[in-house]
Amino acid sequence: MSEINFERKILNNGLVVIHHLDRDTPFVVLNTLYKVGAKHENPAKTGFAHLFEHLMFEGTKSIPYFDGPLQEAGGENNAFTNNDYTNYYDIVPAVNAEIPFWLEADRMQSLNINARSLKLQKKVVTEEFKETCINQPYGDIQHLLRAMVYPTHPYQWPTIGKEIAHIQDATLAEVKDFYRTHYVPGNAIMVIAGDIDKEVAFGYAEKWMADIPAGRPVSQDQQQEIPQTSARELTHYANVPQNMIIIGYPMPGRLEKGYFEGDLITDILSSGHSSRLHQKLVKEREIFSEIDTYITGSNETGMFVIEGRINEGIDIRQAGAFIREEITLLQTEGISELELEKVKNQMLTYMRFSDASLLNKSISLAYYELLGDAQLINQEADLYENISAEDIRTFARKFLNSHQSNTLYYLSNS
Amino acid sequence: MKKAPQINPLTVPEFKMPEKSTLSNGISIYGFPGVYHDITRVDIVYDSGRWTERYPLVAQSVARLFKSGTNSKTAFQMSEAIDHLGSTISVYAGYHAFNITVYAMRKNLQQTLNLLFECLTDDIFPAHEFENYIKNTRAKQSIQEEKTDFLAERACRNVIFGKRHPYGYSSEISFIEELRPEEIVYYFTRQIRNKKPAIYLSGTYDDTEIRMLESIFSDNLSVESSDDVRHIQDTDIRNPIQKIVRKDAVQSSIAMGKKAINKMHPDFAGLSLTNTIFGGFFGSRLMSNIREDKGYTYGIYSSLQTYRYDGAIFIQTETSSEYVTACIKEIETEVKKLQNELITEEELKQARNYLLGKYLSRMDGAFAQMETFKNYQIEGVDIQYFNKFAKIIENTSREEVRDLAQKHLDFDSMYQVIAGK
Repeated sequence: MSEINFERKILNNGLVVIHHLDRDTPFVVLNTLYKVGAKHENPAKTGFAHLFEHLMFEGTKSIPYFDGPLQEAGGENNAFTNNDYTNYYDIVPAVNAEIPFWLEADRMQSLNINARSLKLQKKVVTEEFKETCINQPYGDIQHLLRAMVYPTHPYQWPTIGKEIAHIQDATLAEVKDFYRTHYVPGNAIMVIAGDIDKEVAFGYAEKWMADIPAGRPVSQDQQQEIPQTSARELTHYANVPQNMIIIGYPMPGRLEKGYFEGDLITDILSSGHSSRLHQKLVKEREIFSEIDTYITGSNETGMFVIEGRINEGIDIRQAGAFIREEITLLQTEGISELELEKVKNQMLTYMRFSDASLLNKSISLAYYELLGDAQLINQEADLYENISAEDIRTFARKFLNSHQSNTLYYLSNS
Repeated sequence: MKKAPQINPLTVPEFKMPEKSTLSNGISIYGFPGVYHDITRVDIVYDSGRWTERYPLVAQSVARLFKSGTNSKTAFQMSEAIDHLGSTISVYAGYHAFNITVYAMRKNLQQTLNLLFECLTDDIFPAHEFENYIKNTRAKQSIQEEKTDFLAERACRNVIFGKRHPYGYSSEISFIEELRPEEIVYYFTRQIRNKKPAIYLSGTYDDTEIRMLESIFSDNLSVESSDDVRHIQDTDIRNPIQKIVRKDAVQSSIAMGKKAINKMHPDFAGLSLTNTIFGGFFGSRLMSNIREDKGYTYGIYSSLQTYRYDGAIFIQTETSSEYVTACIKEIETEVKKLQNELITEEELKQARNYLLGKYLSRMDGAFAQMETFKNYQIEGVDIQYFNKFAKIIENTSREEVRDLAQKHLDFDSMYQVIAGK
């Protein structure tokens, strides 16, 4: 696989700037990652990082409407917040590559946060909370599951926040303080990618970003989770058509040994129609109508989750036993070389395809830099390639045991 | 303070035409070369889709069951073989197309295409696979039936085009129950196996891949004439305002819409610009007012949807039940404003350039070029129109925006559906 080449420059105020050249596109991406996510929030004031992401589009004194100039430049933008960080991206035709620098520099230092914009965005986020968590069947699974898996660590709540009240209670002083603390050059990583020369890119970064005050260093230490020693269960009733079982296990964080094994196991279990759980439990035994396995991919202790919608007439405990049976198989017999080769091939095609997107590359470079070194982007394929069938079994034995499980029985009222 | 950088005008270059080759039996291949880490994509498109169904959901079901087994492989063996190559074969039914997309590492393309060919010529649709599919599709649909946004959009499409019309229907439990295995086989045989597809090749390829396609598609497939007849006729009574009550909903979904125009209509490009200003992007009138000023919703959009034989405009949003009336009132206000007042040059420039940026991104790389070209062909629109549209968008005036809003966005003739409390 061909290398993704890049160069890094650190400005005097601590802002990390990464450049990646891609001549095959008429666009330039400016991706800005701030090292602040839901895990940095106070447990009594959750949803803040995400609410703040909304406020970042509320304009400044000199540029009252952030999107305006970008749209006029033929560009577009968006942002997302997760438990670990907040990411903003601007995509513009290469002729207008300087525009996003001007805009991002401006909102990094003089965001106009006021009572009106805060009140408004609280309303918008309240509607978002309702739309995605309350008015959706099964929309509260993340709330329920995280609270079980993380009794201590701030991964306990999803990025939208623990409850609507936390968002509604946010004060202007708190919001301003949050901005001054986290939205500083020393807490950010900027990637410039696309049809733009390195000298030009670094020149723009220097011109627009270098004189923004550095800000104080932000502590990245989180309260760590105490290892789980006994199984946890929760039964929840809601107005949904089908019973569902969700099992979450704590698993290694992004840089810890075992992360990539965990990722490949999710493919073995549920990616595609030839995967184990799909074939045996959806097709052959008809226990579930749908079953899925995923990892959350968090920087620190993540979640390995198996969730299935149970067919009518099947006992939910019985359904759980079928899943456990499959996990026991992983722990005892492991997987065949052929199965391993299959998921590696799938992963390789997926990674190559994903690298075709300029935006994906930009976001990944910033994320790997957050993890410690953007160069990790070029090592990932090897890390997957080096996993053995024995590594897979070791993971299953070490992390997928009953005493480490968190089971949510999500039952239909009817 | 530093001076704001100058915003440079955009030019959308001419659409880059594909490399065209023709197989010995007349099948056209359109090629879009580009280097993507040795990934090759092949799209095989049959002129069928929903349009030629005799019952709703048949084309989609054929798509879902496409890899469910042949005379020599079970569904599991087929998936296993494809997955093992690290390839994907994804199949979907559009309004006018039955579309098969293959992604493979170049070295595995031949084997992947062999598997695809086996499905195309030898699919048997085993009874137990069909039954399992029906059962699981029903279960999925029962969840959809709980979502107010789905219910509102379905009802709105139903009322605009008809409950069983190819452009008007969405999945329903009763349609799933109507499905019969014989119909799956009938559709597959008539609308896919015996039809002549168009082939789109993109990513990493050269003559080797063209020869590969020649050996697979020209020597073996029997080819009959095409069939573009709409079988489902529609007989519906339509009420302009509909309410779907869901007592436990904490939000209501609003869907509004009416018939509009398609790409063949001379107003299309200007109207797509007008729609962008109205509700087509984050900076639109609807978003600025209803989200960014009033805070009634997380998002509100209008979209201009075009099909081969028709077009429609839709507006959709979710809002707390207490804001529903106010929200609809504001939508009406925004329509009237656009019809009666000229927009500013500034606003026009933002929307215009945003849209031109979109046109540019539709040509960004071989996969995007292929996708754009293919979609134009499926819709029956010459790709030269793409260049024409960009020019019209560059030159549309404020007055024309107002006039197009008057002509095509009449609020009173829009259907309204509210699903929720």
